[in-house]
Amino acid sequence: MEELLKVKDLCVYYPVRSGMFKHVNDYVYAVDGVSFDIKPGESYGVIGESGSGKSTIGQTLVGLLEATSGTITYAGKDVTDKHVRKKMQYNKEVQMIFQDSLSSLNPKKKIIDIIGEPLKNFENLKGVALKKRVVELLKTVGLDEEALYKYPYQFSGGQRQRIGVARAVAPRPKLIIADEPVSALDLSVQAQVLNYMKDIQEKYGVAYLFISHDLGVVHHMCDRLAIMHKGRFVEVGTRDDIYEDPLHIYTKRLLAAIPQTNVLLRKKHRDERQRLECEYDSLKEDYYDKNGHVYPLEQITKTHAVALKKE
Amino acid sequence: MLLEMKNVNAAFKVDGHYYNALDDVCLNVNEDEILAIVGESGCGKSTLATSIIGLYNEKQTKISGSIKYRDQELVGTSAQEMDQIRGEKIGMIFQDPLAALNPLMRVADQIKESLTLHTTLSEEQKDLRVQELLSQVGIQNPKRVAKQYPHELSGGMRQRVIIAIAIACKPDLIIADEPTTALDVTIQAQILDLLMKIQRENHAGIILITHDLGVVAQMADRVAVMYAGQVVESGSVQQLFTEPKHPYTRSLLRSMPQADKVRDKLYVIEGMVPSLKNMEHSGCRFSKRVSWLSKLPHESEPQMHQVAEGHYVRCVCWKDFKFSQE
Ligand SMILES: Nc1ncnc2c1ncn2[C@@H]1O[C@H](COP(=O)(O)OP(=O)(O)OP(=O)(O)O)[C@@H](O)[C@H]1O
Ligand SMILES: Nc1ncnc2c1ncn2[C@@H]1O[C@H](COP(=O)(O)OP(=O)(O)OP(=O)(O)O)[C@@H](O)[C@H]1O
Ligand SMILES: [Mg+2]
Ligand SMILES: [Mg+2]
Repeated sequence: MEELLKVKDLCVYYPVRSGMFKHVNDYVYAVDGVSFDIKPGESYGVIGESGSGKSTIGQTLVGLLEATSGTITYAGKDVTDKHVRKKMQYNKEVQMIFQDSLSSLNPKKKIIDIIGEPLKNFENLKGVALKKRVVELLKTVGLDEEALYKYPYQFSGGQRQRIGVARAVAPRPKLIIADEPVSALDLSVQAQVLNYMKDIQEKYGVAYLFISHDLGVVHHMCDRLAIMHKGRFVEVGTRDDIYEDPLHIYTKRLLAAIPQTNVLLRKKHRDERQRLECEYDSLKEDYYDKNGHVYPLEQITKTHAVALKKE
Repeated sequence: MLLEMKNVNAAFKVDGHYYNALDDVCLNVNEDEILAIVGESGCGKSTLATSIIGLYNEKQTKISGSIKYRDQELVGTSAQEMDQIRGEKIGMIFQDPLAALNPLMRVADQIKESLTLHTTLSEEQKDLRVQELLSQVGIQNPKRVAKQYPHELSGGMRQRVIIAIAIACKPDLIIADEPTTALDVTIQAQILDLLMKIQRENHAGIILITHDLGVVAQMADRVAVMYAGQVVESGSVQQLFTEPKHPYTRSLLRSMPQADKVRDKLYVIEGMVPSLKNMEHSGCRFSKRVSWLSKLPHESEPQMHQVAEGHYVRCVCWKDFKFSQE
């Protein structure tokens, strides 16, 4: 299948300024050479610890940050340059759901205006037609018409997150970047939001770039995924490649740290985790170069690639 | 017994009226034991914690019942006495790590505050103790970190500093309210290991509040499940995970995405925990959330019943409860 989005060798560096004249004297290599592609209608996961560069990738894709180098291709066209995006449908077709719904929804606007805004901008909808679409969208995330004239603060965290989902879906996007969409929610509400996201995918065929540090959530949502560490991908593959056959020490350590609900095996699980923690410390040199950087990815099978040292 | 709570009620004043956020809560914590408290947002978990350590606005809150730390009654104890007990005997790790640290104070000074209040150590001894505590919580570079401010530390390090403050005076009861919710899994695992190590060394009891059932399964000895201000099920961690009884416990376990199973849709508990004003104080509270559950036989004033040694369940509805697919 033709790729919807293709990211090649993406680098995003933040300048670090210091001294009296605020000169740039160093960079944070937040994203340091990352490549992946997303097919129409699929869910692609990016997992990694805090600070690994996940949000930076997402924000670069929706134009909140600029790529330092590398290319982004969307539907066959190079969209690395922001000005190109404006001329095509990119800004309509690629939408974002943020982690923090309260600060990402304008507090002074009513729900009808928040969800209606992209419809006005991209589809020129007005009046009754606009209202009808907004009500439809609210229904797809399980909210009533009642919500139309309320403000964001009048909703619970889970409801606000669903409003964020409805807003992202409004302009009928082909790709939604979801940055930790359920991290701030508790279990039962998290289940609701994830189910609505799956419904929407089945109904409209959107693709997701799903950013998270929760390996359970990504396992549930994504067919393919990448494990990110220090600005690079250490391992990419299908769900089975990663969860059943992890090869990089960092992936193994991450998987071992997920708290398991099997009470009877907890001693075994803890010992295994601590063993991997030691292994990670002692084997670092084999998995990272002398500057501590992640090696380039090597293809192991058709779907599975790992950043290993070349023998 | 370390802590014994009997019929604890906590009510908050909302629009001029008091509404109960805790209803007749009875719980015990022993030495060398981790008791986990689980439940959705708004079930009253943090209220339980603040009732124990007496950190609430007295003009807006009413606490009744009995909370005994060893043999000392905490309900009705003066604020001054509570200040003495808190930190020295009961350590608290708060839900919001940023709010728990003073952004304008160096790490060392924040730890020393508690030492000054509760010990007679000299300045030099305090400096030594700060270094010791920071190493104990796994900070690599205690000398440097002691001189830093909170914003200069990563989330995981900040949480370690908060733990260092909580254990500075070797309390024998530690209350940890969502200690790792903001952290990623590898750091979470390290922090939880650290809590267990401290617990063993000090023979402390821990009340661990969390909504992560994986964390509970890995850490707890006993578990209490709360719904709408009540404990609805309690028992050993094995009982709760292998033979959960109450419909709420079973629904929670079901709604969790897991890294070892692929399911198409997650189980959803519709609706949410009622707000204090909308909470009904009679009948089986959880039955309102599940349409077919309300049709089963319930007690009109659901009580806790023993179903096995140390395993208690509220109401009788669990006996007929089945998920529709089962
Ligand atoms: N505006 C900024 N200026 C300088 N450095 C930044 C800026 N934003 C992020 N960084 C740094 O870039 C790196 C990657 O940050 P990013 O927010 O992408 O991480 P993340 O993987 O999303 O982490 P989290 O899971 O905590 O959200 C981090 O080291 C971070 O400190
Ligand atoms: N100071 C207060 N005044 C009025 N109501 C309050 C106050 N503190 C808490 N509440 C209410 O009491 C109930 C229980 O709140 P609590 O903070 O104990 O929940 P929780 O179980 O800790 O939830 P979370 O998982 O979101 O932290 C909620 O309905 C909450 O809105
Ligand atoms: Mg992020
Ligand atoms: Mg709380």
